[in-house]
Amino acid sequence: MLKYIVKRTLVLIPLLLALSVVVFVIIQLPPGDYLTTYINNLRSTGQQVTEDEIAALEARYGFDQPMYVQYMKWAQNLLRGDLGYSFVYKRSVNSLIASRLPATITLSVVSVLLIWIIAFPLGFYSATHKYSLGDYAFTSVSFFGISVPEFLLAIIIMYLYFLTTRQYAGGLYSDEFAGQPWTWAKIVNMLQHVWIPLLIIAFTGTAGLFKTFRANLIDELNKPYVKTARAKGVGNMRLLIKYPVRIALIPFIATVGWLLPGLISGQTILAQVLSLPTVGPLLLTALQNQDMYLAGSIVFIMGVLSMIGTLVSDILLALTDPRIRSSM
Amino acid sequence: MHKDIQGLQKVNRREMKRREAALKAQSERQQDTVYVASQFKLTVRKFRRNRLAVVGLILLCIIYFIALFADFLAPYGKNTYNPSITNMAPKGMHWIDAEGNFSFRPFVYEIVSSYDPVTFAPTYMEDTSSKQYVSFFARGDEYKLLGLIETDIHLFGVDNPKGENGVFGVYLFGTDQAGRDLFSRTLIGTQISGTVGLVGVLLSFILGLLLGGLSGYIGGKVDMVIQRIIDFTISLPTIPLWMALAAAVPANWPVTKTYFCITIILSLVSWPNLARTVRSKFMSLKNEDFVKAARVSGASTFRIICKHMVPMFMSHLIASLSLSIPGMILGETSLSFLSLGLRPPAVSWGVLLADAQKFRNVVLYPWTMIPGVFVVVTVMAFNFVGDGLRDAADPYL
Amino acid sequence: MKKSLSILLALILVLCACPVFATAESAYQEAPALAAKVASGELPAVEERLPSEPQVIEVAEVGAYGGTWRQAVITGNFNHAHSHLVGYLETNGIIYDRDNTTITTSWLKEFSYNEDYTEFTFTLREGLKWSDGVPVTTEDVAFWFNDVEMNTDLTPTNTYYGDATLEIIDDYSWKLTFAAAKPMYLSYWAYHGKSRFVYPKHYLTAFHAAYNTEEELAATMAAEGFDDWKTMFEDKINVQKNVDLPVLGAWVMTADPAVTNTITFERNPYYWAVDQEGNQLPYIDSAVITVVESTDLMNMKVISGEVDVQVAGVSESLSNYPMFAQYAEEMNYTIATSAFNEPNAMNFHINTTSVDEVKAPYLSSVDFRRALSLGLDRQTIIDTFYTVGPFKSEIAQTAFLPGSPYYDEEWAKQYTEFDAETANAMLDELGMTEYGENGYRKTANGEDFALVILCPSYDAQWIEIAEMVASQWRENLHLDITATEVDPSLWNERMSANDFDITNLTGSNGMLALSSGFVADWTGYSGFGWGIRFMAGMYNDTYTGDQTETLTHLQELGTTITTETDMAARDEEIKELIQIWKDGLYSLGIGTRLPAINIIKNNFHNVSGLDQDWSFGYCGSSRGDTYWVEQ
Repeated sequence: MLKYIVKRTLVLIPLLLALSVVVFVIIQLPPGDYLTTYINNLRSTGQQVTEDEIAALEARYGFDQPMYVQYMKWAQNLLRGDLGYSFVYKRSVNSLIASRLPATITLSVVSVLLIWIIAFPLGFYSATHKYSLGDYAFTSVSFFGISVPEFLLAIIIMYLYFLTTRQYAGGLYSDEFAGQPWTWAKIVNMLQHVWIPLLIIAFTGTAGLFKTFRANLIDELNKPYVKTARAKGVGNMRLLIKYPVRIALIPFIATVGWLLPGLISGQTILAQVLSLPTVGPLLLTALQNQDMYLAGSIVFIMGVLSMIGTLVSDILLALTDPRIRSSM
Repeated sequence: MHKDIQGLQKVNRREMKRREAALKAQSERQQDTVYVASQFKLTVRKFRRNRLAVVGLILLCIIYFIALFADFLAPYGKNTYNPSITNMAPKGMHWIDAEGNFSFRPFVYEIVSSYDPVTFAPTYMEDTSSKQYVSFFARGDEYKLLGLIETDIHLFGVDNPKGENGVFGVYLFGTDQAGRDLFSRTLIGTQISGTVGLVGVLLSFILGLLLGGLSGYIGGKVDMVIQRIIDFTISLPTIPLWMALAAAVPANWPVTKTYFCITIILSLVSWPNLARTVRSKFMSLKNEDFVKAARVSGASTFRIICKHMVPMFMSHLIASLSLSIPGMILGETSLSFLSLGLRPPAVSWGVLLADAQKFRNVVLYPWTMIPGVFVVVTVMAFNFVGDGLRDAADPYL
Repeated sequence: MKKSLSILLALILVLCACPVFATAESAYQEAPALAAKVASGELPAVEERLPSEPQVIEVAEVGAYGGTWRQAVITGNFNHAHSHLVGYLETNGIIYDRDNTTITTSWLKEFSYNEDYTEFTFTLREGLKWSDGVPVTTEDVAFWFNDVEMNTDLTPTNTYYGDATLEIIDDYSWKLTFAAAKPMYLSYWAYHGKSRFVYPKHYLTAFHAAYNTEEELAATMAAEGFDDWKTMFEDKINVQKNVDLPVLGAWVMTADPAVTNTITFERNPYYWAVDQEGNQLPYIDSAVITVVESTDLMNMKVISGEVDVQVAGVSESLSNYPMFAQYAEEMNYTIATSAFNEPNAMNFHINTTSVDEVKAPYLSSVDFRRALSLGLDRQTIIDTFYTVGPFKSEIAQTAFLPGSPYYDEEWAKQYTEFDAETANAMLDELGMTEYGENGYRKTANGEDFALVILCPSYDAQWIEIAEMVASQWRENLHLDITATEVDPSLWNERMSANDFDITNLTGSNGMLALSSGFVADWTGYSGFGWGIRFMAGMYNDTYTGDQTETLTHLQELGTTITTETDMAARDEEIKELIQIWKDGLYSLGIGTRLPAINIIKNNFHNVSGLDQDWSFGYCGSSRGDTYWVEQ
């Protein structure tokens, strides 16, 4: 096992190197660069830029250099932990990400936990009480959750919130708390705001997990070994938890590691709709404006995390399922 | 006596043999019939017993029927503008007029437009003194039925849309910002929403199943390579990739063609998730006795995978397949902010919902959300059928 | 050393002067919060903080002090919100007056120029101070010119001051001399952010290579977290980011927007303007700009009554009027409308310089363009997209606006009537008499002829309009024309590559006041702006067709107009420009632009002049420092 982990970690190194190249190339693939986007935006709002100014900016940002030079510069800085400079925000990428990381991780962790807390017990209930009234109810709600675009749902909920309270529902807290230290009042204010994204996540995010877990568990419950165990008088709850649930969890454990990059990007569209100060919208803005160091660095970090995530998943798989351990 | 007994035994033995043979024959006969009928017939029988699944199947049939004959069922064309009825709430047919008289043939009133003096929102009044009967098999916008027959006959419509002060027409779901009939657009949108996305779903499903299967079943080097490909694919930033692809698409391609290509490419990067789960399942199954037995008895790898291993987690496959369908129906719009998804002038449910989720429409023109009902119904129908199929195919149930 | 001495001297002076003025009957009044600080000795008296001749603004209502001004801004557009709050008055010594036409000063006292437009003399208001209380002098001007504009590290090529020399006359006056005439510089300087002229030298020298040894600079860079002094310096002079930067605006930024998603401002105690009664401006104590991610959220903020005076982000879409109006009374705000000085609601630029063998003969033919124009039922487009209640766009061609001194009615109305018959006859005349199997016209040579309107995805409605136009051309003229929406970056790429037929977009300027930047749009003398939309082939040298002469002449006109010092000759040149446009019909308009929406909270007063005209930035020449809030 240890040998396996060491081997996997070693493979990671060339892979990361390749990833950094590919990420950098792909980020630059779309037509134009940050400057053309920037100029376009200025022009589209009637502002004036001349060719000389553009040439100056080009030299300033190093866009006139060949791509491999730009890559080397970026890669060298990456090694030192310096993620580069954001053209859009005119700030170092490190400080941008750092300022948004706490809110991002909190929101992601809370939403993942929320999804698990709702989806697994409900899936368990639905599978063990197949075609009961409760099962129908949960299944219908979950269908609704996956068929309604979360964008639309968020806007409707925000409008309903406005209709009932006559207040704006966006953001994590009201304007007057922005930049203030965390006080009790600010926490209360945040709790008043944060239930909206959580509600939407609970509604749209749990459906998938609920549905697949239910299906997997039903598969297992019908297998002869469960019936045999039951016939032999193994306690119902103990039996279920010990065998079928464990096996039904395998598909989730296989991809659980990918929650790791999700911690950074997590709930991007939702954050976008609700104006939440997380990394997701930052990446989106960066990509749309071709802010290459910001976009490249976030994407690279997510890539690293997903690779680590896969490794974690594989280790967890081996730990939960002895059959997998033996075939590794 | 002895002889008698012996004779009797003989008779009995003969008799028993005869009976045994008859039984055997009978059982063989029975086995034959069961063997021929069981797999499919039993599945169908079981499926039919599941009422929800049947309802789902009927709904799907209706939806695809609509997709086929949308142009005929819709009273208007998908881009039939009408500036005098922009953003109008649903105005349906009437059977009982203002005086309370019942008419078997439905009719519509003349719609007179104006605007609210304070908010400037458009207002539409039905002039009950001026009515017109709805005609069936009415002539309207031209279209090609099934893409072949050129015609202008629609299931229903109004013969003379121009009124003295306003217009006549049937607008069951209201109209959008350009005065286009949402009912017609929703029906016509079925054509794209019901087809294009499904191809992508299937493709990524097959890829995920195949690569995940190989990785888990063969293991070792193959597994290592496929897993690293997965690592890589999942780390790729998709948005710039799409932007680059969009640049590669010629400008004169129609939107639907562009979208179809994007869907294919989308499925090329969206398979890893399924591949990972399939792999883990395969890894835990491949050393099971029944798989070993199959291998020892010389079954081909393909047969082992398809016949013995895949059915072991059919539920998960069906669940994830039916889960990805709404994603594909709606996914078209998630790309539309990059103008890569489906965009006007194409008409699909996603395009219609993208319009509905503008805050202005939520506040003022909520009927633009009606196409969402179709999405929910379609997703439910697919899921019901999927669950029904799973249950029907499960030998243990 | 000299600098700190002068500060010390100023401080001593201030301290000595304080008691004298405090007892005398003051000519100026100040905000209560500032008066308290004066009383406690934290600030010098208001007379000391104001220049000796502050700008006196005649306000409609003399306001009361206090309150907060809340605005919102859509991510990435910090510029726009800032222009209204700080940018316009902060960075511009020369501004458009509130009548939107005359050019006047803000923190500058006066300016003058010679007849040749080569020498410009400026004078600061004596006693003008940065927001940290340090006097503004020509030392700051010299620093701006020599150490920023002329520093090749910071400004590698200088378009505007490349041929300029600076002469410091005294502590308050300086003269810029240009080698070539600069007749349009005043309108350029009045454009937001372009007449900056001063940087706070006392603050910025610490970050500048010319004022530090390499070790000192390295130490500062290490402390500030930069690996390059240019980036550090740019960071430090960025008024939208650096909260420590001394400014001249009415409010001083106090929180970094990227970190908090809200930008906060406090009043500048050293602000240089007063009202007619001698009350130091601004009336409003503080300001907050919230960063939102989308237009929808902006709209939500508006109906929740969470913005006070808002233009950026709401002005462009009049179709939102009913939504805003629905909650206006209840949430206590008013929806005002103001003029939108763009030449047209939507311009369809036709690529005259196409190099596609099949399409080029038609796209470059003015008869073809005229046929396209006649084949449009503009009234239907207007009824569908450009009508909101009583507001209705008027049919018009892309041309200068009626308010412009160069307005030409014939130009504005030519080929705007819907006449499919004539249009079809014109197409027949061009030889497009054969029809293909699809029912659309073929070229004279019998080739298939299909055009695409390439629409950038700046606004969701643009593609709808483009599609309607395309469908009219298909139906009325039997031309195979479709509309496709693309991402702006791709759109731009296709524009630069001269790889498009027709494109549609809004923008530019109706020339109410002649402005250099917008001459480029109409003459295409620069590769940016409208030029590239209708004569793209002239920039990447792919086009050599028969339009070359006319278009080259048009480009040259752009240069002559912007450098012409004889005003009568300039008028003639502009007339020539108009004639080329009239003859060429490069861009098809639909109708006049609908007015802009402004949201104004009912307790906000003195809010006026919010016309949308890109010549003076996002919010017209409205002066936020004169707004006041009724508590």
